[in-house]
Amino acid sequence: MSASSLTKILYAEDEPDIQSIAQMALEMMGGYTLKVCNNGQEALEAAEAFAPDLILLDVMMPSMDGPTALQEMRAIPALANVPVIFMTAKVQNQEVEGYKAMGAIDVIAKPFDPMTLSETIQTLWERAVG
Amino acid sequence: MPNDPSNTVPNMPDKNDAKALFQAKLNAMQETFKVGLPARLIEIQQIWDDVQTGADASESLVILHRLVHTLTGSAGTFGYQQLSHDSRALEILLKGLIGHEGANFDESSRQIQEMIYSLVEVARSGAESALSQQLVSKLDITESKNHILILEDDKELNQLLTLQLHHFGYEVASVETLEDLTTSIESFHPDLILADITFPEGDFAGIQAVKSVLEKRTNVSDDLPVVFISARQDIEARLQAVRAKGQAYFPKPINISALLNQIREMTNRFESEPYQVVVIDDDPALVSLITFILEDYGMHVATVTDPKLALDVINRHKPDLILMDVHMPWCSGIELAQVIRQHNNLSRIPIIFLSSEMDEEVQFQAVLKGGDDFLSKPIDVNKLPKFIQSRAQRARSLSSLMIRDGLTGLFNHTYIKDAVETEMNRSERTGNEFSVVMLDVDFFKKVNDTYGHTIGDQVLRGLSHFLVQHLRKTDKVGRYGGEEFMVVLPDTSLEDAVSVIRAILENFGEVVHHAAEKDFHVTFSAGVISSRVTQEVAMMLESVDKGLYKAKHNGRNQVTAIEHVL
Repeated sequence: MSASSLTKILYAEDEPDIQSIAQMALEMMGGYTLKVCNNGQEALEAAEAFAPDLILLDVMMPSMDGPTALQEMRAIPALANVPVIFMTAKVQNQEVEGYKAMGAIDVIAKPFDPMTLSETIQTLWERAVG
Repeated sequence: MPNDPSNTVPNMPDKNDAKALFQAKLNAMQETFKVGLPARLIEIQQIWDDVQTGADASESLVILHRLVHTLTGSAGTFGYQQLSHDSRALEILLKGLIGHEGANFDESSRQIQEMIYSLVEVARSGAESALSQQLVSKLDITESKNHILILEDDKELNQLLTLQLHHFGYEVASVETLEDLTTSIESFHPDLILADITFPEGDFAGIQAVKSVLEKRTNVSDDLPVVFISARQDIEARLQAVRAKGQAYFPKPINISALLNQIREMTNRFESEPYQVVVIDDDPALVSLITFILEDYGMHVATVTDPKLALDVINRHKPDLILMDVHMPWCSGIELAQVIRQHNNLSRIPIIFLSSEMDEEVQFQAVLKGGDDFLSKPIDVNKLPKFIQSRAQRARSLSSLMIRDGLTGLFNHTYIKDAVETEMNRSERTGNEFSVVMLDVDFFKKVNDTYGHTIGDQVLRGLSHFLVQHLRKTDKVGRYGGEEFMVVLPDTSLEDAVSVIRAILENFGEVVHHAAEKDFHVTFSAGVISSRVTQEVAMMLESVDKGLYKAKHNGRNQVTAIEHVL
């Protein structure tokens, strides 16, 4: 078990419907505190001040995609060790491995099940920090 | 405990309340999406009209791409899987066009308009699944054993089939009466049904039973393949089998190894090599669209937008099928097909032409000059992959008929001999040593004379299977003739090859073969040579044969390495 618990999640997603469903799922079902951004650029700007326990990034977004945002964040000392999970519609194993090699702890496939999203994220987070 | 966030986060509302509230909100959002969908599609059509007629075509194209991208995501989230898939296809085509509106715009226009119409159609049919029970995409395809259900009232045959399939790694359930069919399908979840046709209930009772079971499964999206077996050879029985969606038909007495090959092909959706397709088209947007559609269906795609590079790509990827545009700059598809057909080793690959050409004469010429079929643009994103897959499948099974040995399923004499030649060429390029093994079953004539030819055939099949199981996937195993086998081991030194074959010989010698009279053991003798000893294929084959002869002469049940050509 880790000493800290998962409370604050920074979430970047450009599609409004998916964004609000995931936000509701994580806030209502998981009870987490969320900072929601519309793209990687916004996420990068908000990240340091928000000091998240976990970062959740969509892969394909306009004005800075998920992988680029991850690389930029890794360069910031305060964010270097925060676990990152990608979300993407493309789920070929090969790609998943690529994202993991970039430093993501895992990849969640879209469409996701909104009812179990928060449990999935909790499990992945515990596995990564535990 | 990991699944109970209330432990880690304070002040959580009651979990069930939260769930009910969340579900209600989700339902409301889904309803909003549904209500808003027609307006979204109208907006897409309007922006598309702007692209075609407006002054700011490129700007409108960017907006259009954005709208379609959002639709893809939302539709998937709200359970409109088909709409999401088709929308993604359109999104990919649009993305390919942004910045390159010029060259192929007319052709792409028709494709885009077709796809927008089709989105409207698909949207009308509504969501496929409710939100809460929606099929969630899986990251990993877990490879499970294939389940086969056998329906056969002949007890003996039923047992034989069960045993053989079990041997080859299948999970098998067997049923002897029609009444038990439905319940065992429900409990066993087969991936394939192997069914007899004739039962005490009637001549075609097996077909009818399977048919009615399949019809009841209309809600299940994946189809359940059926193979029929029957004592009847007549066309009526075969036709009935086809009408019941039977995908193969084996008359009795059953050729087990052919049946096994068929079953392997039908159940191997994930295990077998995916079909490799080469797409040749000068329009990059269309190429990325086709690539998406085919890859989404599980195929591998290599693309060529410059016809000058076509031969390189084809030779590198050895595709099961080539999909090619008729009209290209520098050379036409019809010309390119003729160039491809000049190569003997490429003559078997089906070439499918893709064109907006409505002119029958051009279509006729295309097929006459080396093409196999003709598909017209705009393409139907849902029919194309099925068409290509079935063509590739046919091509693959035809070519396997040409290169495989009927009894053992190994490569035949011609193919394995060519494989030595191919490997020699590769070895000259890479500088890597490879080995060739020639082996022959000891006292095979005695096995045949003592136990009969059926048992002799079983021994050959057993050894074939044993060799394939114990060698690497990249090694090639062929039946050279009679009881003689040849193995090509790429990137393998003489010493390694000898020790591998010795280990196989030792293990195979312990295998028990069954005959009615008694159980018995079989050994083999082998000669081994490598490309270090000679770089001449004819010399190599002659010497390895001498090695085999020497092993026989020295008392059999042994492996001889040829270190110098004589």
